[in-house]
Amino acid sequence: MKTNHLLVVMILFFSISFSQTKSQMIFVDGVCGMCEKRIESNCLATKGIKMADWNKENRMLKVIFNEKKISLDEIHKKVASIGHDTKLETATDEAYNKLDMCCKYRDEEVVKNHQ
Amino acid sequence: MCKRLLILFFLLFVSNLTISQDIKGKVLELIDNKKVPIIGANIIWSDNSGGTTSDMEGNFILSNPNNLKNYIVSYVGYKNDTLSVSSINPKIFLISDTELDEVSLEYNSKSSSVSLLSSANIINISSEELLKAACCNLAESFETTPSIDVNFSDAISGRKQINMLGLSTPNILMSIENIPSIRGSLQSYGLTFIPGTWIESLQVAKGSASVVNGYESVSGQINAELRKPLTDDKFFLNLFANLMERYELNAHYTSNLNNKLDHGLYFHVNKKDNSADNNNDGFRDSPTGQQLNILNRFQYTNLEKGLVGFFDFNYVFDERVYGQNEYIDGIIFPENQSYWGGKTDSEILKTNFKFGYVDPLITYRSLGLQFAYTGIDMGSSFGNRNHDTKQTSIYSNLVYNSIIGDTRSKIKTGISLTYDEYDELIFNNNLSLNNFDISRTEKSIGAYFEYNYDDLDKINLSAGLRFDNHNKIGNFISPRFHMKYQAFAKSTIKLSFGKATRVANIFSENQKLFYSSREIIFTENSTPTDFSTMKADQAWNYGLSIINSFKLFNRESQLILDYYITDFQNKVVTDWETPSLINFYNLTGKSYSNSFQAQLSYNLSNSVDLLFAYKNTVAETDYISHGRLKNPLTPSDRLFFNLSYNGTTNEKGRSWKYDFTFNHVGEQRIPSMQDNPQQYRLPNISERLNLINTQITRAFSESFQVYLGVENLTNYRQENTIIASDDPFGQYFDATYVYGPIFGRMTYIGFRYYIK
Repeated sequence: MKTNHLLVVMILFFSISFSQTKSQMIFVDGVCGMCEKRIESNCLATKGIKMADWNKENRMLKVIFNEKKISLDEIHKKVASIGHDTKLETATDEAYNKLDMCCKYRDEEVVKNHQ
Repeated sequence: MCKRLLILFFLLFVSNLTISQDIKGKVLELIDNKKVPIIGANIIWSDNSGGTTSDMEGNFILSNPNNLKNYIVSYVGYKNDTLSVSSINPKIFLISDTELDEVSLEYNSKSSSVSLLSSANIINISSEELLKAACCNLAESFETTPSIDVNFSDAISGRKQINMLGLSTPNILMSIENIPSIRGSLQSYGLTFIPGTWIESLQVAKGSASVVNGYESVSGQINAELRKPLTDDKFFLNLFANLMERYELNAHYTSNLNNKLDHGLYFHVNKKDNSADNNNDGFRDSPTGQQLNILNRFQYTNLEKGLVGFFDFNYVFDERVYGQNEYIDGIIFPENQSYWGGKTDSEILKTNFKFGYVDPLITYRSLGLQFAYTGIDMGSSFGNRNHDTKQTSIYSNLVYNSIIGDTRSKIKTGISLTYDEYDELIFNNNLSLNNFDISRTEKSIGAYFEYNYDDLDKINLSAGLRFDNHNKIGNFISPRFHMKYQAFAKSTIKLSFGKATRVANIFSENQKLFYSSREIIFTENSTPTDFSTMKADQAWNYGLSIINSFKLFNRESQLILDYYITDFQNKVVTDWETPSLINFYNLTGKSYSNSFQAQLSYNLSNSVDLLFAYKNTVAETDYISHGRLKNPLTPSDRLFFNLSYNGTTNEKGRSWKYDFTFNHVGEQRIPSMQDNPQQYRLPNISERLNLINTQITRAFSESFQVYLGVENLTNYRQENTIIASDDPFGQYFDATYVYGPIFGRMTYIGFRYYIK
């Protein structure tokens, strides 16, 4: 009997943890490995985000998050707040200017140097 | 016919109509089922004759003066969409390019490197590194890796054994694609059953290994990844010959059966019909024999559903004949054989099934299942002694990967089981010696949990614990811990400790001692045929490694300092300190191995890499009647130097490669022979050895390479590899005191042919 209870609890636990998880790809502008580290570690430090994987080649951020804790809009805002533009949110000049020299993705010269 | 013409005419007419009009469209993407315009997408005609971009609302107008039919919509990070002019107001939804082919960056990566990111101290050896030596099989794949020593196990079988941290093969967990594989009866010949060309890469984990692959790794784990049908060349052919008339053929053939299933057939044969006796001791320098080795692999890949799988089938047949030059194999009454010799026949059947599921959306969550069945039948004879072993093994491991909170905290958990049934006999034609029947069944089941934390910056640690139940040992736990700390931008410290448990397969692991007239005894037992009081080996391993990267004369270089301690709580001591005996007993006292290594790699130019290494090992064991002694035939120190030249490839695919390896092997303790008659003695300490291997490779095109190499260029040869070779049935005969090369300089040549 005991094992049956345990099984039910386990199934419940799994179904709860599975149902609220959502996966999305969003475009986040950036250029280099430092951008990758900044985007990923800031996202992961945000409550509700479970996985963040940014690809500097196609500039797509794969993000897996808990919908109950954070919305996609809030993720866009979060990314913009650390200086990286997304499709929906443009980073303020103040946030953008805080980026390291090599991460200034709006500067064509910098982008060229990374190619 | 008429109808078709009419339709064709109608189509032409319709398409002609649309040409005159501009296309007014909109480029969009779906985010959370909301239509979001894509700003600045490129819309161009398929012949590149002109185009436009989408505006702030995603709208575009494309004029069509040239009567074109196809146009392409593209945007960075999204899949290109090719459209035909069918609608004049198209709504185009771009799909983000989640499966964009990885853009490969060409940079000068080293063929052997230490990972700076992982918490464990893992050396990765690529297939490129394996091409630097003859590498006929797994045992010979480490000639250019200073962390591992390769030496002859005895003077008769021609086998090589490997050493890591001062401890030999059975203490290293040998796995093939993470399935523990060279174990049990395969401890004797197993390394020679993995052809070098089948190996895609090797991972050498120094010190304690992850709990996922079991409780057995005492001084480390070596994992071999085999070639995979999906990514391998279509066809590969390799022929090899050396001056000792050893011939090898390797052929690989892969085919794509459908978009999810790939097939690979890997074929190896080697043959050696003649054997010279260059050291004139009356014995063949190496055995004659042949091997047939076939591996059939199916690889299943379904990325949409996140399913991957392998189904492997491997068959090995191998026979080796060794002994005195006049020895003839196959005499029906071995008693009548007046010459010392023997034969080892091996037949192995292996099937592996591996299956993995990765949630396609939630990629950090995955489930893996490994299942392996191995049937081994080996029969060996050594003069009047015979060792027959049949083993049936089943191994299964189920592993679940996930995270806690976010991907900085990962977990691995699972259960594994092993089942080994041995039918093992030692029997003698000469009835005065002991016979042993050590048939047995070993079963274990275990559960493990590993937690990994990565702060994506300085710290990466993993802590694992496994709990096992073994029918011979009972319950035991194996804790393992690894940590990486990046102290400075260019300096990384790695720390590890862990406990390993292992049931020794005393006869298979020490089969080299059978090339002698030694008698087997178990000191502790009143009945000498009882081996069951032998306890399991248990050891703690502690390691510290410091990796420093810096620029020296403006070129990249790396300094690695390692210190590892292996401390045995118990082990089955194989005591062969008395010339006429092999004595097995449980350790009383201490047995340990402390190993220090300093390694400096330097990139001299874009094509020349240098590697220097120094290694110092103190390995000692307490013996019952001899006290504490250094482990026999373990070099106290070793100096290593490797130069590798990797020339630039011209437009025809031609290039040169050159490799030079120098090894200085320090003193080794030789078990005392002072009770032997004068002519049957060796000094107590071996000579220091200087050994050189070199190889040159010429690539004539992308698909054809020829290589020529020399092993043991200085032509060093150990004298008296076989004690009492003139009286092989006498009590002093012994071929186990091998500290250096048995045969001298050996030249080899081969070619490789690839179809990509």
